[in-house]
Amino acid sequence: LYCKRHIGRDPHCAENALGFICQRGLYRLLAQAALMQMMTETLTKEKIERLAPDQASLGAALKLMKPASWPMLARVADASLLWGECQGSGATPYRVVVSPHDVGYKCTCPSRKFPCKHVLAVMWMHCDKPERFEPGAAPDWVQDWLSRRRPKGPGATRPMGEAGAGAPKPGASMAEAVLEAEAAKPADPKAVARAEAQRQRLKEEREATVLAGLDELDRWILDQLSLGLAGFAQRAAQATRTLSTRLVDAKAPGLATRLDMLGADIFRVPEQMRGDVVLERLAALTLIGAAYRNQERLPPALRADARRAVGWTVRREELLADTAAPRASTDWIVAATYGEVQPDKLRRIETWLLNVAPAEGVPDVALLIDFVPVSVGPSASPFTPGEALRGEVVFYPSAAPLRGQLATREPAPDDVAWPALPQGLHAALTAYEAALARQPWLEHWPLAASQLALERVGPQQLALTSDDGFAVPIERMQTDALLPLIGVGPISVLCTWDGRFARMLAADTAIGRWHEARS
Amino acid sequence: MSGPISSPISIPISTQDLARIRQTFFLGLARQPLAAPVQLQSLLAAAPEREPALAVLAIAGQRQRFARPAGHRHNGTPEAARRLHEDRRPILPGGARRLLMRVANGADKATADAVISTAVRRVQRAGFRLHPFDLPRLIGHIKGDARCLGLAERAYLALADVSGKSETSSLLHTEITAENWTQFPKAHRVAFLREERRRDAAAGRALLESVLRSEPAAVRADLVAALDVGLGPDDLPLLQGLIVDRSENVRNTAAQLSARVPGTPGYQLAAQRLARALTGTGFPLAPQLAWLAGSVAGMASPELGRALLSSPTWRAIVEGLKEATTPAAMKDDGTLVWTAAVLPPELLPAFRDAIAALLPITTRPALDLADLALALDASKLAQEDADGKDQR
Repeated sequence: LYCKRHIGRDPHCAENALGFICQRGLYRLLAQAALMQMMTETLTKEKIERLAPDQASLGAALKLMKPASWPMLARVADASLLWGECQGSGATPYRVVVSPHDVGYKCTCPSRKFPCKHVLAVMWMHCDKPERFEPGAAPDWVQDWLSRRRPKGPGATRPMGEAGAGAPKPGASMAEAVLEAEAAKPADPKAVARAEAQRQRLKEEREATVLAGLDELDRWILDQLSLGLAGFAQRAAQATRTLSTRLVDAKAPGLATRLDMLGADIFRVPEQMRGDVVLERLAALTLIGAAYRNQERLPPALRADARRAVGWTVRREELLADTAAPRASTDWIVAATYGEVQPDKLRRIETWLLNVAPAEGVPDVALLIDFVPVSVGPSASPFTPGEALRGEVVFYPSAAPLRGQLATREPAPDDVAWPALPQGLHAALTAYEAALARQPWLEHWPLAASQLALERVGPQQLALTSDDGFAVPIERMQTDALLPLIGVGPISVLCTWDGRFARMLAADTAIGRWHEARS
Repeated sequence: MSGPISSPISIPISTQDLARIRQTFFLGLARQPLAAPVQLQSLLAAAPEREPALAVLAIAGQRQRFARPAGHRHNGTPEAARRLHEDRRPILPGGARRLLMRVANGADKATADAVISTAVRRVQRAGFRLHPFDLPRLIGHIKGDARCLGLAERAYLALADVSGKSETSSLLHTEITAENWTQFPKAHRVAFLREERRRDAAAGRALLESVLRSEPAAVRADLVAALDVGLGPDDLPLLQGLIVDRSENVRNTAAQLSARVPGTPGYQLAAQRLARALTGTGFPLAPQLAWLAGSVAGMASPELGRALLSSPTWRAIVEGLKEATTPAAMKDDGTLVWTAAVLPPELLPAFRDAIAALLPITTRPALDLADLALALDASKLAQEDADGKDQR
């Protein structure tokens, strides 16, 4: 109350009030809330400096001020809301929304700094270059944030991700960030060479560690074969956890995740299928190991697959710079978004895109994957299933290209038509087999087909069927959501297929489109 | 499903060999040593440094992955699914559909069923049905309210009920008629009576009256509850007669139903409570508005709506929310949501203006409900226009 009475009148007095509160050991939260109230209706650079968690964040924000980083920047007419999309290191752009009058904000990036550099950049641009914000109506995701945000006021607690979380850091300076950016000199060539040599040495060390890990994996698989796969389910949790920890130590996190997932996945299938699932998954692990050991003899695309399966990563910049990487620049429908927490405490966020103009030699489907630590809190794909976008997807080099990064993005027309897909399941299953032949440890592959029907083939079991006599069973956890598609007439479908069960991603029907959205 | 269809991909291992290998791996190599098939010998010899069991595992696993799923013979469309898509009411238009889902997603857990049922009743009153793809999300909230269950909704319930015991499944059987309905189990009879009420309220009531005296108390109460569908002043003589029924359950059900019909003492009592709540003398406002939303009228008259918006109690509540400084105090206790639910469309813009200064966290569910009502009103008019043009 003391703060409230003084704030907005005399800043010195207000600061004294804050000091008084803090000295008396009252809640830091109260001080932050009062500080936020000190901020008046408009954003100023001084306020942004106060909000910045540290000097490095301001420096990083400055680097994001290039127009190329922001395919979209917009505001409502009275500038009471700003929003934008920034292409960061993730597969999907980060969506940022800022409410300048009360300094509320939200960004979909996984940064643990609040506010993050994207939010600071939007605020900074709003101060320096307000003309870059196109006036327009707030899209759904901004409205959604607006409706969910917690109220702000004295005594109101603020969740992570909104202004006020974390103590203010008055040391950060925008002028200093600009000076630092200007003073940045090209790196010393000798230092660059030393760093490169160091990277090479670390890479060689990792190669040796990975090979040792693969040997251990082989021994473990032989142990399992010796004990028998029929009883694997009973010992799966313990057995897979021990080895996956060792594989992480062996710097093969890709294999560790596959092994961890096996421990969970076998319980998703009916009991009579579990032995076969284990057999196939262990076979895939064996194949990855063999391919990795013989990678020099593999075609480049399959070699890239083997290395990625083991756990080597390709940075976004490297991928975008790779001229040999497959690319598709077209209109896409966001078919589905899906979030799942992996055993390694990362949330895998999948965004499935369907190419609306399929063409020979261009992938029909793209999968964007982002990994966000669970500790960051709830996070989901920035896209809404059903929305359309126009952009270029660069695919990771692969014998069966599927996963990619969204390189560029433009607004798409409102009414994007569903593409014409091959009729029946035969062609789709043949495409799956061809992909599996090219990339033998493929986990799942998209099936796209039209003229299908959804039928109930058991009490809780649905299947996609086609007139050519094929049927693919659907994952049971989707049964309830898909019941309304029974009897709706011929449907055109995008689903994933792992050889046993399909997971529906999207369907085009006579009564509209159905999309999977699970987070 | 019939037998598996062979894969076009050729892997040098026969089905019999695959079965043997599979059995060996399942049992364990310690129990049953692996005998690699002859076709694989040359492959295994090419990589002597590799453990043969791992090579055989890789090939067998890959061979299995190429097995195509079993073929299928069409079973035909289940009757429930057919009925689900046969419902002749137009599907809720896209804009109103999005608003309805926002109401559903934003509703407070404690009042979600009541709020969503109210919103769905409004959809039904406007002449629309829910989009079938939204039923899995909404059905849990509305299945207890017979007034929300049209043909499509009941058909979905029947489709989702794998046990076949749901009362709704009986609605999809053609054999139950007014002549033989008394021979069916209770749940089927209740469902049939509701369907009759929906079709012709007076005929349904007559059907009920014809059997009421001969039924045991437990059945009577459930049958009387079926009057919930199409409830109106014509049902009052029957309901008032039941207030002296020997079964307490029947008496309570009849009293609750009559209190929802304007003109009854129960209704008047509730209306008095609402009037007193508006002047701030004794009763909290939100429950009275919730009662009004659930009544037969389901909506306030324009006069009552105006009285509500200008009442000291309502204004004080809005002022209180405006002055609130803690998240708990900023939460709508239901007053705003239920106001949005009961106001006639012409008063909704005034309602929106009155709460414009409040924070979105406080007003969003109420605004969503108000926007839905306005969108339904606009869609209804558009639909009527379209129907008029068709007729012309």
